[in-house]
Amino acid sequence: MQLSAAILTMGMLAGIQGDRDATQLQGIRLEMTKDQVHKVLGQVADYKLQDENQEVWVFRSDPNIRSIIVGFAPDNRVRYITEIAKPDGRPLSCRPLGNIKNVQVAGTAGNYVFTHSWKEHHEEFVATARGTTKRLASCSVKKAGAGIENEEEEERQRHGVAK
Amino acid sequence: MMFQREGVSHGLAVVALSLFFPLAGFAATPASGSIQATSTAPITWSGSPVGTNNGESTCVDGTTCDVFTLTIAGSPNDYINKFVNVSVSWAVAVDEYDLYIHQGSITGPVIASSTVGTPGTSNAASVSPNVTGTGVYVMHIVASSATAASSYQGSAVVGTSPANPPQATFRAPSYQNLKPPTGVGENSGEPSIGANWNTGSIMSTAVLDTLQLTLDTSTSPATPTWTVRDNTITSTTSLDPILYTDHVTGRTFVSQLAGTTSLMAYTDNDGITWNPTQGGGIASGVDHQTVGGGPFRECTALQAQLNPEPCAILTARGPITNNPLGVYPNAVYYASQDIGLAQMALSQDGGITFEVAHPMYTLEQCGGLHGHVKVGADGTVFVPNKSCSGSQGLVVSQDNGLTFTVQAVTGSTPGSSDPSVGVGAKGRVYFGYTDGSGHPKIEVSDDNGVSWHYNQDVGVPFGIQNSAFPEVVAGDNDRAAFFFLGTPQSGPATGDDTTGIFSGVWHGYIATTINGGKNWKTVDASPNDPVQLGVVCTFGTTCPAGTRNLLDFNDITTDKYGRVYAVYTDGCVSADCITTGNSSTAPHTKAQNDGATKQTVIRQATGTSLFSRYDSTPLKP
Repeated sequence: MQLSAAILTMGMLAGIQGDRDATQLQGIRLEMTKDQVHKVLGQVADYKLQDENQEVWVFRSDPNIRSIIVGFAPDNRVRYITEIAKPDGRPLSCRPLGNIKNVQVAGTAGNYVFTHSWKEHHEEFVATARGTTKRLASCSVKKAGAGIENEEEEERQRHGVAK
Repeated sequence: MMFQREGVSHGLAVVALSLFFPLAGFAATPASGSIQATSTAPITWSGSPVGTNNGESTCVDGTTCDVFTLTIAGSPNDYINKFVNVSVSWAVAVDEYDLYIHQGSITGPVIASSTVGTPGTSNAASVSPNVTGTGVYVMHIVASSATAASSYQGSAVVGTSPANPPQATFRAPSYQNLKPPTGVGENSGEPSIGANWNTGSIMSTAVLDTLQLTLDTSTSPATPTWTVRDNTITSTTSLDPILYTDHVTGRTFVSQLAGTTSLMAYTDNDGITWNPTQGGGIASGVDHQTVGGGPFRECTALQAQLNPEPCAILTARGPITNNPLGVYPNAVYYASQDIGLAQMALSQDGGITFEVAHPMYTLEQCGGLHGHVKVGADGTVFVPNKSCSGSQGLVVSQDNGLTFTVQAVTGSTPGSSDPSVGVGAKGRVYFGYTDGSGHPKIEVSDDNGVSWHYNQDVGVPFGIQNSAFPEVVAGDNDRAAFFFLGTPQSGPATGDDTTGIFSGVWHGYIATTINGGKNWKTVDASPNDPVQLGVVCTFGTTCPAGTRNLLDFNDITTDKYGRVYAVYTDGCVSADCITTGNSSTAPHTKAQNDGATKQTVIRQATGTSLFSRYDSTPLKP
């Protein structure tokens, strides 16, 4: 799907032009260790819960970001980061999406999904944002394939146990 | 939520239609009454709504359903060991009036209900004011099947024991365990099952294999035949297999995760030929997907009159009528989660293509992994979750997967297995789960998860201390079956065996209700043949080798006669393992277990089915 002129004028795109640091959100980078994540987030957010090696942190006083979800790979390094906007804050600017020309759009009004994938040093990354034409609700960045490391390990186990 | 829940729409209906008709025309005669803890005489009323309603959601007050407002006077302490028993009765057994008791108003939660089904001449339910409080309760009497010549009598009376819903004759079920021949279904962790009501085939998938089970019922017991029905699309990789059969159309879907996408194929001839589909509806990365479906939710005439906007949304999200492959009558849903977000995508063309998924919940609200999607007869969509803010949760959509509400399953605690939902013919929700202590429990809701009742521990008859893989299917509104693995041994039965080696014997149990979840009959469905010895690890990929052979779930379904079929992975198949499991003195740890992954189907042989219309023709083995 091509970006429409209407979408191009969205406020959410204001922050994603030009230079960017594509693999970090709120000071959390892909591949960071869990200890490093705790040190960074502990200064600005409260740990809320963990589930299946994913952690939810709620920001104490950020007027625009409600929370951040960090998923870890089995080696306890960051495999994805998702920030979630406050409904009444400023619209998110999802910087990992990068240059607007590269952003793919899917979905319909009220449920757009903006995606950009790229390769660096033989690794593939995916940035994803969700929202309307006026406001993004979430912004994520992950290593492509990192989300399925558990599954690949599970597949090995599945076939292993059958022998 | 775009839509308000059913009770709210009813309330709106009352308000809107009262502009045109006298309000008294919407109520029973008399319209209200009051009762005290010391009352000895019953409060009575009558009515004659006419029509055929499949639950509350489609009825129109004053025409096809009635309202009677009962004020329970006094304080809750006046009702210690006392109940207000409500009943409706009628003369002709082919008629039926369903009873729903709302607290506070017609928009309030349903705290009790009775929808026994025909044939019968009464429905009854109870209020416990000492627990739920005194004040206003609204009796909603819905004409499930009533003609102009029909009428009912209502009654409310204080008693010292709760009313028991009338029960049909209950024949305790018995079960057969059917195993595929050697070499078939050997690598079958986390199997799923579906029934094609048109052909009678039972379809199942686990890891890479899809199997068709047919039964020759000219013999007794029936003779099973197993046929491998693999397809090239979903048998080449496996990161999470799932099968769903639309029993109405007979279409079976098989889905497998594959890297950052999902592979899916469907068959309309029980696996003889397969067709590829788009696969999912989630753009980048997926995990633990589920596929399910059922009727589209449709707009009623009353809703259209009150608020056409949501009706337009439902219409837009209905079946695609200009599909060159033909109109597929039912919705198909694909749900999964990634990057901290659980999502669901609707297919309006029979699973061939899917929309871009809509968010269901974030990790802030519920744990990431969820159970399998189920759809009620009115099109309400349900996804269960084992942990949502301190309890089990039920994710509900009433606009064909556009928006979602997370309902807490009150009275539950988070567990280690994915819970499961069964939806009765008139919308009663049965939520089966393993609670925080490991016990197998099931709750009931008559208002799509807003309120819950009858929280039952169905493992009590066998002293079950630990359970795993709860699976539920419902038939008639008051009938459901709950399959789970259980062991009477306490201890860390679903852990990783690092803090202590668990020793216990697991069997497959099926609990059945025919009175809406008030009472359950639990049966050991795999007697004398353990499913597993030792731990059933539910810690995912961190589980040590040899503890996770069963993977994450089992499944259950029903054929068109209400005969229950469940599928499980058998981890204990050798003669030595079975003998050891049946010994009361032998150790029962993972060291004695086979660690096998043999698919096994439990088939209900005898007993009451999930559909009362077959009560006069008992199931045969």
